[in-house]
Amino acid sequence: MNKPRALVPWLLIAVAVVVVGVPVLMAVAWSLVDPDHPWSYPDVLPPSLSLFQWEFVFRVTGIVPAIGTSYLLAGCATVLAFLLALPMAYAIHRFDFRGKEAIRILMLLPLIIPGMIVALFLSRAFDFLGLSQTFLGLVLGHTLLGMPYMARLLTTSFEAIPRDVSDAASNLGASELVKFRLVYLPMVTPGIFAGGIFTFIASMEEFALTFVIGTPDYQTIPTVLFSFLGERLVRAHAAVVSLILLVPNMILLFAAERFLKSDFLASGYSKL
Amino acid sequence: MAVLEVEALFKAYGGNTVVDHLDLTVPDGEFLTLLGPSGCGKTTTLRAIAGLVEIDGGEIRFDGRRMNEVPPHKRSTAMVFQSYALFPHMNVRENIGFGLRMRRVSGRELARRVEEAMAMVGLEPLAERSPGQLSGGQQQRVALARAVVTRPDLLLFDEPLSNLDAKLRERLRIDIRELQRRLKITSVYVTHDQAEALVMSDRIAVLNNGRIEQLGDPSTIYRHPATGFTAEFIGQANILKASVVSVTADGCELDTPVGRLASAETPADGRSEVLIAWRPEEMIPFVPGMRNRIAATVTQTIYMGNITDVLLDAGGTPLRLEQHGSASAPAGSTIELAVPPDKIQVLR
Amino acid sequence: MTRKNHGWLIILLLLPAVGYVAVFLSASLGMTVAQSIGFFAFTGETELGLHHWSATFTGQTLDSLLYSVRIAFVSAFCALLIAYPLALYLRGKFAGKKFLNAVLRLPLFVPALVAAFLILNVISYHGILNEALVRLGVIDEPLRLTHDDWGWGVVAIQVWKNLPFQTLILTAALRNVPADLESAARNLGAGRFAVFRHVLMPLSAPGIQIGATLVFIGVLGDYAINAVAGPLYPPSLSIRMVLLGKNFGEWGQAAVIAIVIILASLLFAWLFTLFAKLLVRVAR
Repeated sequence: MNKPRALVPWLLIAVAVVVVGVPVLMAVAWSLVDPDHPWSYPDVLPPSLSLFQWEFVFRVTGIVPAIGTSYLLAGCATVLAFLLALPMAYAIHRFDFRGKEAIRILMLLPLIIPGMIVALFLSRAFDFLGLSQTFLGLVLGHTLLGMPYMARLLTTSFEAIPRDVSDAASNLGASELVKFRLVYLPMVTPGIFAGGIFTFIASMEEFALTFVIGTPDYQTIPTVLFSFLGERLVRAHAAVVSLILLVPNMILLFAAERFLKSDFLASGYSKL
Repeated sequence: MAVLEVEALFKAYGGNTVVDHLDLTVPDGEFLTLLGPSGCGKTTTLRAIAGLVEIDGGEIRFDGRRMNEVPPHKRSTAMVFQSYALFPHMNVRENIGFGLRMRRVSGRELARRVEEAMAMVGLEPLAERSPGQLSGGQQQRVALARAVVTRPDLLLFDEPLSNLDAKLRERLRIDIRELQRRLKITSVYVTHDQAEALVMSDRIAVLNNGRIEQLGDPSTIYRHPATGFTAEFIGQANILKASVVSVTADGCELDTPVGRLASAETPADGRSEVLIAWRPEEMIPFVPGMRNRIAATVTQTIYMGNITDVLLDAGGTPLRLEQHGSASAPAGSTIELAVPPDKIQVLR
Repeated sequence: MTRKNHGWLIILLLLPAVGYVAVFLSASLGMTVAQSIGFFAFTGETELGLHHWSATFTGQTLDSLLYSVRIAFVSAFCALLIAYPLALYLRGKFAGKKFLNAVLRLPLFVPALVAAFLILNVISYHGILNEALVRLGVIDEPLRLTHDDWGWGVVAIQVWKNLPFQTLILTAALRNVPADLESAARNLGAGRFAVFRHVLMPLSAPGIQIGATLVFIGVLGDYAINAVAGPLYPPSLSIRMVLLGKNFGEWGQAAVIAIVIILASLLFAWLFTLFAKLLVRVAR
């Protein structure tokens, strides 16, 4: 009676590894296809491997400037979102006032409203303001879409500071400024890092907004990938660009998992 | 209504033995308490009886019928939890009716028995409330009604009163016991509160490290603790090492750090090195002619309302004395006390 | 702490974040609503009225609406169907649970377009899935799973991408059910299925609701995955919206579609709420 039951977890793990792992490994395989020995039906694996596709993508396509734009954009959006959200998170922790719930919902809206709607009609407003096809316009848009992560993670980490601790600090003679520097900041640092990582990744992944507001003047990694996936599928190139986008994300998130308490990540994942 | 037998029950969590070959028989209609500190295995034993934890060895029988392979929902036990474990999405009536519905009781019979159970614990006016709208005491009453409504063979209580305040706790102790007497359901009650155990139980099993230290009725457990653990866990005790000097017809003579003492008991297996114990309230002021004189210096007095705890130093050995009312001697003074020989227990 | 005299300070502290989001969202959404009824037609004359609405509701838009709602619903349902048993199983202890959790979380970190590409490779006409099925003799000819008219390719990608997220929400919802409740139900005579039906399911209903709603809204408004793997006709609502706006300059009609997407999202969010309530009611 015991034996078949003990097999269930292993079976489950095997299925999960296949379902998650095979697609990723196939992408790796496609990125290493040798163009002189094309990989096609009915070969199960590429007949020979080479780094030709990587070289080609870096040499010929617009991926290099796109990588630069992506990282610069994500960095700017993260910093801007942090500067905007920090005072709010502090105020929500420090003061009693009505409407906190309404603010919470407002800050989540950019995540819930379908991205293409926000993107398309923000672009109309940007047309009007002369911000379309500008880097500033992209930064403003990406900041808007990163705000839900930053706001939520900062707010939860401020809320996690026990009132007693902050009262004790006051009682021991700390002014508000000293308290912020010596008590609050050290306690919310993990939350700031988590918020930063999530906002950064959200910006790196963002497609709709960049597609509508930035292209063709500004390309990011996702829009380049889209061009390879769009009308005509260029498998090998798409594979290379997918990995360029995927690998740093993975490293960032696994690093985040190692360094941060899991609660922060959980509250980042569970978007509501 | 059933006889519960537990034989050589064994349970370990990853190499850590929690219940160590425990034997226990609870006769029909008895109220038995498993008493012990946290981690002694009492809750695990209770849950094993209910079938909620898988056991690693031994046998559990209801009325002689082996229960090991019977899943929890087919054992006729009803448990009252420390957390109450009321279903938050059901109102009081639905909570109480749950067990009956699972037993395919429905319609008028269901309604009648639920009403009856609610009346038993005085919950009729709250029938439509949800658990979140009830106080802790009311929630525990619902849990109690939910347990007894199915007329189980066994009632199991897992520290049901420890989340309640002191006044309510004393009230519910009596209520639970009265209900159990009326329904005559064999009951096993788990607690770490010795007062609760002494007040409620027919018999008490003192548990330590997954084994039963002593099993007996409350007064035996209190008056004649068999081991140092029992003596210390139940009430306060002065416990001393002693060596037997001589064994006589009416007890024994002992050499102790506080002098030569006589006990009315004799060491069980003829040992010469033993532990002895007596309760703090059993020391009395010495009057010439009394046996077992102890001279001691008062180190501290702790006023506790109806009684005063007096901490003593008898030639380097700390002792504890319990006096009624306020202290008679201030700290620093020397007093003379005596312990009647029949109050000195020779421990196993 | 102190209520008095902080009014202006609080507003000053909240303003950057709240003001930013409010301004940009209302710029975007305000623009949508205004354009749908004829305001701000930059290209030409302002003509107030519902003519954009009547112009938009043609057979093509209706096809897109039905298609998008269908794949959104099917994706949410399939994700739930796989994620819920998984979350139930993950409640228990077993060897390798940590590893399984890590593997299941992986797709969470995969951007939508990358997910689309990864799954396209597997399900394409000469992909590994088709080849395996042909070799095993399950089918004679490869199945057309990408750009198929029904949208199965899109559903497969969406389910793969949303599964971890869904599992995470459901696991959290189930974790919030105290273990004692399950024990109590077992003790009161409920078998494993009865415990599920009367205790676990109703108490995890909020998780089911939130998970289903988020997946539904995400798929309903999707552009990229449909553009990459969706059928040639009908286009998803978002694709049609972008087509009308950017390519044909029919911004009024594009705005109408945006509002349709939002209204459909709200409608289904409400339906999922009702469904969650129903789950609780039937469970009692």
